Amino acid sequence: MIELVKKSTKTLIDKILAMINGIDIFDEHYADKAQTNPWYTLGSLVWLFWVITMVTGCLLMAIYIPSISEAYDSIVKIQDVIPFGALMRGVHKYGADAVIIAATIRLYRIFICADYKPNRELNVAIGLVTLLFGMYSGLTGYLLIWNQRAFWATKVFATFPTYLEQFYILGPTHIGVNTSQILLGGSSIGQATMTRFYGFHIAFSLLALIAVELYFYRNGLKRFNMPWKMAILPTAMVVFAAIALPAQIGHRADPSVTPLPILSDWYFLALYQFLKYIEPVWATALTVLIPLTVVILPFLDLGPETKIFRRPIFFMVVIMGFIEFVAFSTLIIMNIANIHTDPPIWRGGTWFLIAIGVIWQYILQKTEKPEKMPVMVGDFIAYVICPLFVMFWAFPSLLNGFLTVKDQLIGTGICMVPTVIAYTWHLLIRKKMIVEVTPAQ
Amino acid sequence: MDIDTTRRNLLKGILAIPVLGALAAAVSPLMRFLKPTIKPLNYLQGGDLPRSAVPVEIDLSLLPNAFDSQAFTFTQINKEYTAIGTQTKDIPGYAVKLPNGEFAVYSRICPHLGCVFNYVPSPDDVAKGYNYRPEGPVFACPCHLSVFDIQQEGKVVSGPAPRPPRKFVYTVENNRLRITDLESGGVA
Repeated sequence: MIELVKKSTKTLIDKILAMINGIDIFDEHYADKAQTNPWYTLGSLVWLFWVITMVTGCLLMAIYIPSISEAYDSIVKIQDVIPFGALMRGVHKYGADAVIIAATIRLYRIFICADYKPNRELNVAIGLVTLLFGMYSGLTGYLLIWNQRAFWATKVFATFPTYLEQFYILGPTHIGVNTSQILLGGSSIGQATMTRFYGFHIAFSLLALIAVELYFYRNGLKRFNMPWKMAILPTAMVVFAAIALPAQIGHRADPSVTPLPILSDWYFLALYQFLKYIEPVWATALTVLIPLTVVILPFLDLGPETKIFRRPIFFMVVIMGFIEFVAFSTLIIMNIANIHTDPPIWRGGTWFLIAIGVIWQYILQKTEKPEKMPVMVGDFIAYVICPLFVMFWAFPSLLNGFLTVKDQLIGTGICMVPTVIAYTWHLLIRKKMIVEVTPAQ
Repeated sequence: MDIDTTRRNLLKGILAIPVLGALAAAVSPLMRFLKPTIKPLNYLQGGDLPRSAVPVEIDLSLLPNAFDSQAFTFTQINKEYTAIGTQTKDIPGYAVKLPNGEFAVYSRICPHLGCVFNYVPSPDDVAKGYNYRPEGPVFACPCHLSVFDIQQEGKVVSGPAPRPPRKFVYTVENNRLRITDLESGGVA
């Protein structure tokens, strides 16, 4: 028994250390792969666009006035009067968009190519943090224009944490309302909000850049995993976009008129549609749970398989994420929503796509390795019955606004049961069978 | 990054947790720098509430019939964590006369995510735009399609809003509607 504890502790320690050694921030360990496979240059592109955005941002600071009465006029002046102002602002805006696009595609690549195997699971978390940093900088950045879109998007963003007040343990700590008021710098949106957002917009990027540069320097890694002359093309792309599609300014913020439809920058649009569909408390909880799920997913992908079509569950999760992002964004832009009939379709669709993946995985395994009857039956329960069971319970009950602790626990518990059965089965019984079967061959 | 795979290094790493925790505890009073209204060592203090400024008066001759409405703005003074310290904020509101002679006086800031909602007198318009056919005139928020029934104390009859809109405190004096205060909550 003690032997076993010792052994498993050692395995865990080795695993953690191996994961720390496997950290990769901007694809700097894929220099060889990047020679032949352009998808592995995405990390370097994130870094390049980030630096472009920082440089143009520092230049814009020379002209911009961070005050709620002057900000909008100073942006108009930068855009229309200051020589090269429109170019600088355009490159800053499209550079930031490019950071988010590149970081998103990179995250998809990590999932599709299984770059988190072996022992690189932390890289998913790092890729996600890069993306979230980009999105936070975007959010703090577009408030600085002080236009309608910025004002109302900030209001929605700041009202979000206040729903933590309705949770059981977190509520009495007032963490939600305090978070909201610290973000806004007061009990309403005003000058303090702009000052804070301006400060954080610069500080977060600057501190992160210093940390990343130190990391590259200490470990003697290359920042850019392709020839430097290749940096011309992405830079030219951003400059071209800035000239061809001048960055928009919108209308001056008006606290008494809500624009219709209320929109944010493009990367938050899907989340906005999602807000229409579900109760705000669940929306707040799920907004936190989605990134957590992304971090946990690679730990659930067991086995050495790296080809995407041999990992159908993960393939379907990737497809589901992509479809919902595109569909929700399109729907909110076109202002289509039926809040009574749509949510069950989306909820059902989500579970349906994942269930397809699970059943596909089952078929794949059975056709390739015909096994003994007990294994067949157990796997059939884990991979076919359980997903159907989850679907059955998840359709009508999950996310339908359980608010008491009891209901929350029951709802979550019911949906966890099949998942736990499936993975216990997978981990314990299947592994045991494989160990027993292999020596005989 | 190359870290030697030794237990010593891992233990050193784990040691970082209590050290960081102690550091966080030592630095936590500095949270008051970001939110100066927190009293010392009172981290569980709730949010800052706005203060009402001047009362608003509406002449009742503007609301002769049932379901007549009057929009107004009510000024509040909000805390702001800058060198200035306060900020005045205009809260849009509606006063609607109900068939029973009472008044529905509500803040137009939607309790869901803070959009400004509208008074929609025609049920047909609501049915067209908000996925719901009400009995009579309602408040309806264009952002996330919440509908509030003014005749049932602002009850949410459709949409994601978690509660009725915030109520104004009012009195009727000398044929004038005098609005003095607003129920707290939400982000203005």
